[in-house]
Amino acid sequence: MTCLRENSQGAELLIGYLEGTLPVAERQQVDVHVAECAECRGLLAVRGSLDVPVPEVSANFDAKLYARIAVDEASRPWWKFSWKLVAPVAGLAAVLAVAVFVQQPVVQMDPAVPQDVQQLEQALEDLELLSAPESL
Amino acid sequence: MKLFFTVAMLGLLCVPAQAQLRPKAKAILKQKQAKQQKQADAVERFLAMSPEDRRQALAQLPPAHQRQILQRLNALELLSPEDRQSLRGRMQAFSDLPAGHREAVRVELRSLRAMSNQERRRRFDSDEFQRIYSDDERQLLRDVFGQPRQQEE
Repeated sequence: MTCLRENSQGAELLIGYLEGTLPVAERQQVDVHVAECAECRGLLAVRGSLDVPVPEVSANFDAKLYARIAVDEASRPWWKFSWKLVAPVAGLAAVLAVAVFVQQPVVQMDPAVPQDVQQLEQALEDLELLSAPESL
Repeated sequence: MKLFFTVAMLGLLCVPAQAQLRPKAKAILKQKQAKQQKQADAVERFLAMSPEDRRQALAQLPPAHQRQILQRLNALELLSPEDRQSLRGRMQAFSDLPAGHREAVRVELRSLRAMSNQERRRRFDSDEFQRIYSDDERQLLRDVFGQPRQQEE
């Protein structure tokens, strides 16, 4: 099996594997590959680390938090209150940012790799899939 | 007043953007279709290159990646003219499928490759296989594994 990081379907396989929607045969292939590929094990480990349970907070957590916010507000310097001056400037900047964004051309997936090489890769992968199992 | 001004500015900017969206989407779709058509050409171009030209063309890729592509090209070169011709025909049939169907066929092919002959036969005969694929797709999938066309009922 091609490494998930090099396979153009790698992300799809990984998501299917993590969600448990991958067919058994493909899941086994991923298992076999992951057993011998440290990088792919790392990818799975990152996902595993996201499942760490959220720590419990103390009963008066909210009260303490609001108290700290109140103290912080009281000691805030005067210029931080002048948001009415900053808001129109920020609004205009946001409008300009949107204007620049909508004018951006479509970005290629990986500009470092020439388009014909990307086409070649996809075609070779398709050809391998479409070839008789014993021929390639 | 300021709010009105901001909304008006956004509106003025968004109207041309909206108008551009549809032709842009069409252009992207056309681009994708053209890309699929050009994939086979890309293979032919690389097959026609000398080994040195191939290495130069792939120079930007990591070495392991380059090796993998070169091995696949070599494997294609080793095919008999008949096998290469039938593979080309299957690729053409595959390219003619709509993009979403192609992806489904890719997934099915990967799954079928991991099966034993017996499991594959069961899959080809299953109701689901008949239901989810068109005649052309079923034929293509069967052709890859040298399975005879199923008799029409």
